[in-house]
Amino acid sequence: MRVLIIDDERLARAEMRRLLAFHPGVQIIGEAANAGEARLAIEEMTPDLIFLDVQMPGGSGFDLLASLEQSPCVIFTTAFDQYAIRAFDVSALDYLLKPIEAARLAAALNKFQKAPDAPKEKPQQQAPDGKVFIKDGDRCWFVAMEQIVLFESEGNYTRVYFDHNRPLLLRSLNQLEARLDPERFLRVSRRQIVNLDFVVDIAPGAAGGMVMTLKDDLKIPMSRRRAAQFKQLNGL
Amino acid sequence: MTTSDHALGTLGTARRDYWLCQLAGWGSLAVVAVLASSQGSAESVLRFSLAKLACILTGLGLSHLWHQFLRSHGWLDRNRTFPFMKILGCLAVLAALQLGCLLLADLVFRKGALFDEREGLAIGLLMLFFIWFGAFLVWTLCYAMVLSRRRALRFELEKLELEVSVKDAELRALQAQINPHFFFNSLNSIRALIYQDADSAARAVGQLAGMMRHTLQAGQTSTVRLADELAAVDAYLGMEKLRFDERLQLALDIEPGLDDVAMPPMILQTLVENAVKHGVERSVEACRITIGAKRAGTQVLVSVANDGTLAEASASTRLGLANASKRLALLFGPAATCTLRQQDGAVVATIVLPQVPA
Repeated sequence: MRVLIIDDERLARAEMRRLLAFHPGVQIIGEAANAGEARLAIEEMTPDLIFLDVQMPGGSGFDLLASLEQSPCVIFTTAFDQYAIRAFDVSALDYLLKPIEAARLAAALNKFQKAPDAPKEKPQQQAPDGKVFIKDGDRCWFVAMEQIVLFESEGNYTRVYFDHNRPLLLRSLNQLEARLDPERFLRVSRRQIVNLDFVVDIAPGAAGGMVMTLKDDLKIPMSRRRAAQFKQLNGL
Repeated sequence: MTTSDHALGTLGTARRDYWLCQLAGWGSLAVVAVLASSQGSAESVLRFSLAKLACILTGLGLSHLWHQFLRSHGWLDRNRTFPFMKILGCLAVLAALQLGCLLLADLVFRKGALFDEREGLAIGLLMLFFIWFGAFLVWTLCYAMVLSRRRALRFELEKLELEVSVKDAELRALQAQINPHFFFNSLNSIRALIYQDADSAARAVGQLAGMMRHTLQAGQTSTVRLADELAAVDAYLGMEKLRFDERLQLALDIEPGLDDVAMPPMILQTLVENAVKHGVERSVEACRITIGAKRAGTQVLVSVANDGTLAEASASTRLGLANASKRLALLFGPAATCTLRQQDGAVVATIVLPQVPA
């Protein structure tokens, strides 16, 4: 397991290293002392897991995650509850309170190894469906791609539909499309990408097009051209 | 002064004021009455004056009884409706009693001279009745007015006292809090140090203990010596230096001879914590914190500066500054202030402590 330690305090990083030394399966591939360094390190080294301090100079841990195309698994570390509670809301893998207890760390690592989307011994190849971190105003979400029902373009932003949330993601639909799993996600119109897992019904629509019904009764009209492509793709 | 002492004190002055007003009112009435009867023979003037003085005395006595009656029945209490008709009825009874006293006095001192003129006696008596009715009415109005004014004043005073004591308690509680983020980060640093440098770890435990002690005691005293506050700040910065390494640069500029200057506890500490939070914690580069203290005329200026720009102050910062200012004003008056401003690439917080000239 390749991990990256992100904390602005030298002693806190040293302490993390010391604690992780008891876990032979963990390979520390680097350290970062601020958000900028961390972004570079994550993009370059693609760690499996990051230990992320919430409060850092040059942007919080949340800002860092929101700026990443795709987030690695995260265990937040913090000295005090206030941020940890938020981290818990975003269903990050886990959070640890500093000073970290060895037993809590072991439990968190254990949970990570059991997590369904943890990459298993295939370091270079990124799992196609990772998680995306979305920060909209004060609220944060950490969503697995397969949970997302629909992406809808709103200019330079994209509205992301999942569960009952509709946050805005600071990325264009085109940017997103490039990195989505084509087996699962389909561009049905200029403005929308749907997750085929959530399609409930497909019915003929106006002008030779089709209307797709998604979970929660979301109705998505498709143009004739897109409808033809879709039929072809599915061998209909 | 405790609350009960205070209440007793006001009660005493209230009683004194009541008798002063009574004597002044009835006394001036007596003077006017005697002056108004300076016609006729010396003997008749004397008799008339005596009769009038007797009436004034019975008036004073009746009004005092009326005062007792009003108090014991609570007719003028704040929380009840004004018993208008009852009071008018009592005033009529008072006027009738006074009229009786007047007739008695007339009989005693003037041998019933009032009854000599049979014509218009009824009208005369009726007029006297209404004059005394009016006199007691005016007395009652004055009494009610004074009472309500005094109540309003006392109410204001109590409100103010309560506000001040609540505020002071709140502010102390606020500033005697240990910043949990700092505390747990410090413990984390110390634990890392234990494995790297046992001596430094031991020193750090001492610093943390010193700072915690100062903070915990801050809630119990209203002022501390500048030297003690500086020692606590020094211990605090020692801890932060462990966390931030070379990112935290410290400079002290303390004029000698200011050790015994009194200041509210934890204010300087709060300012330094703010400087760390907004300066060092946010900066990737090194950030300098300068603590200064100097005499300027009749004031002592204590300042904390950190590199950086004054961002739009957050709600918590503004609250912290407002609290600091209030505590200073409560202790040292309005000349004592705490302000924040931008100056040459640094954010400077300044505490002004007015000194009483020796």
